[in-house]
Amino acid sequence: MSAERTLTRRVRSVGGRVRAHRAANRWIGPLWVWGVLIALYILAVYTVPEFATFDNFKNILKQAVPLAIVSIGQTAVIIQGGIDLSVAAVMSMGDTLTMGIMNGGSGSILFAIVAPLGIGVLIGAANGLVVSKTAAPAFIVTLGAASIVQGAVFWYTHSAPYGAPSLSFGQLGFKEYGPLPALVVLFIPILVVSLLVQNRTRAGRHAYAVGDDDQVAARSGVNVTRVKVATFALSGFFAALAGIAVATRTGSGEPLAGTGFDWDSIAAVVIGGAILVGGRGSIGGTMAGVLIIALIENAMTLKDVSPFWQSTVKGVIVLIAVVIAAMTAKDTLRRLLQWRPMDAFRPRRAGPPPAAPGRGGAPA
Amino acid sequence: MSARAARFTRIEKPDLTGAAASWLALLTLAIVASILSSDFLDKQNLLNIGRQAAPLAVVALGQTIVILCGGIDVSVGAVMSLTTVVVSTEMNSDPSMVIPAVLLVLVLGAAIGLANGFFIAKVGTDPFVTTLAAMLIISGAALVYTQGSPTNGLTTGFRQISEGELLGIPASIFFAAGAFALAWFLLRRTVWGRSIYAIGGNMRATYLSGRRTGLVQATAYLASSLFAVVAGLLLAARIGTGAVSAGSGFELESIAAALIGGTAFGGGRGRISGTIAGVLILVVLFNLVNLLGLPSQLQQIVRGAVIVLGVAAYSRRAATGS
Repeated sequence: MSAERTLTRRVRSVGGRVRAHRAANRWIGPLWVWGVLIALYILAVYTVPEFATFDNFKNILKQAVPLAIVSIGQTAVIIQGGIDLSVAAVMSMGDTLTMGIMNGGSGSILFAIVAPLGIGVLIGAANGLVVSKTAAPAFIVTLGAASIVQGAVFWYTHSAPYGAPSLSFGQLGFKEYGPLPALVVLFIPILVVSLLVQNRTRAGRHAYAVGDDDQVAARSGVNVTRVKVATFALSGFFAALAGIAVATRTGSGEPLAGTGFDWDSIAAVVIGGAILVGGRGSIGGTMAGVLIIALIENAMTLKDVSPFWQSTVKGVIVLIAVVIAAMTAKDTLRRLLQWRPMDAFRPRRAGPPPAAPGRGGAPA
Repeated sequence: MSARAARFTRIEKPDLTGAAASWLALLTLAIVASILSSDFLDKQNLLNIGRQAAPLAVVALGQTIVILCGGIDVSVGAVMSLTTVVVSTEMNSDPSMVIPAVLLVLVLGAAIGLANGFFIAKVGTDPFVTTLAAMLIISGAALVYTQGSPTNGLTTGFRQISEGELLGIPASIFFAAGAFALAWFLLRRTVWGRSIYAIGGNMRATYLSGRRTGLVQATAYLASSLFAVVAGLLLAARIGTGAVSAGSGFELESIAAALIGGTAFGGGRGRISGTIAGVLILVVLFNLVNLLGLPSQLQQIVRGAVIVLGVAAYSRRAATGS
């Protein structure tokens, strides 16, 4: 009987660690990513001139807002096991359509914001439907959608800067509420609601379930199609919103406003601890990834490093993040945390050993 | 027939449905195109289609190998861009530098492919993210190398590999045919090729059967990178200049061609003849919207729609259900 008691004790202690680990992971993501962010910040304070000012700090936050908004939607899609490469084109749509409808103040601001958001949701939902109803992989579908949307944006704008903001809208990007830029203040409620949806709602849990194993999720009563369509629609919504956020800082709609945000948002999500096969990742971790990217871009600009290097540096960071993800997936701590003690009580069945060597090699 | 025998047969002789369906679709498309545009069946136009299809065909063959073993390579477009800028800069209009420049890009491509393969097969990183990181690193390196300006240093002799003609057929088509023969031989007549299919079907079973799965996977990425370099050479010879964005879009189109050709995303099923059909479907459609004189923005919309609909209609599930 003492063996049983030992086991119970071990179950309890592992359970406690699992809960603590998951609670931290859910809200703020892996701690090491925040550690890297802080280390990079300290490094930049000592090596980059004019980095350590409050104005520059605000600047980093302000620059990070559009990427942060897109990356929330991208996180939802990646947790569910998909990927959305249409966000850059949808951002361009949001930017140019807002500007085009406002047209320098003659159009309604409300309609100029609602219309792009609605179209973003429709594009995302279409992506989600094709991905969940056919065998086509998400990144091909969304890259094709990107081509369609970008072509439509070029058509709408005649491939040139288009439209102009209303006066009050155009000032938003430069205004400050208290000590912080207006965009940052407006972003905080979006982040809080997203975190609550991820951690405190059934929909948030379902996204993880589908990403972990969509067949098991379906057999457990989760409507997989609905989850997939919803996350893609969310991603379209946030991408359009990010396009509107970019529009608050510019004088006219730029048909290529979103260029690069597709890869950057995926980089942020991956740095934040998500894996592309799904089931893992968090908005909190993604925010750390966004800040790391924004900080490095800012520091490189202040240091007068050629912008040509930026892509290479981002690539190296993504590579480091994905290597660390692969290593932690193998390490003993994680194996301990994933150990299901109750399996010891299940009757043994003949057949292949249950432990598969991970999903290494299988793409998203 | 026992289940085991059935599985073995499937590996030995993948069913024709995927590839055959794609060739049927291509035939239908060609008939529709010749009705819609009287210029379509013009000899010059057909040769043009061949010239355009050659680089895409070569890179798509390499992509197919990677997809067959359950991976994906999104760095091929960047490898092609890098090839065009490096080869045209190093050649520097000097005929004696043609062979050294070509050897240099082949070595670069091999290094990139081996790096991809090392991380994916040995470290166990996600193929999409790893090759995405490679893409970002390579395109940054190409920008730094050229400082963003296009490079012109290709010799007229080198350009003959796309512009030259043999028996009235563009030389690049022979290169594509050679690449096809090589890929066919590797996949169908070597243990390595059988292992590619086996890994895509069931990685663990292949490992337990004594195949060195890591080595085969890594060399698949090596092959994909080298095919991309050859495609980059054909592309450089066709457009006559090196540009850092020359290869962008080829990663999407090569993957789309493989999937439209019946290769299952996730691996294990597919044949390279299907990939060639997929390439021709894409190029014929792009050629058709060109012939119909649609505005360029509309052409971009059609390209996207063709890829989404084609992949959605022809995608097949991978060999292992999950």
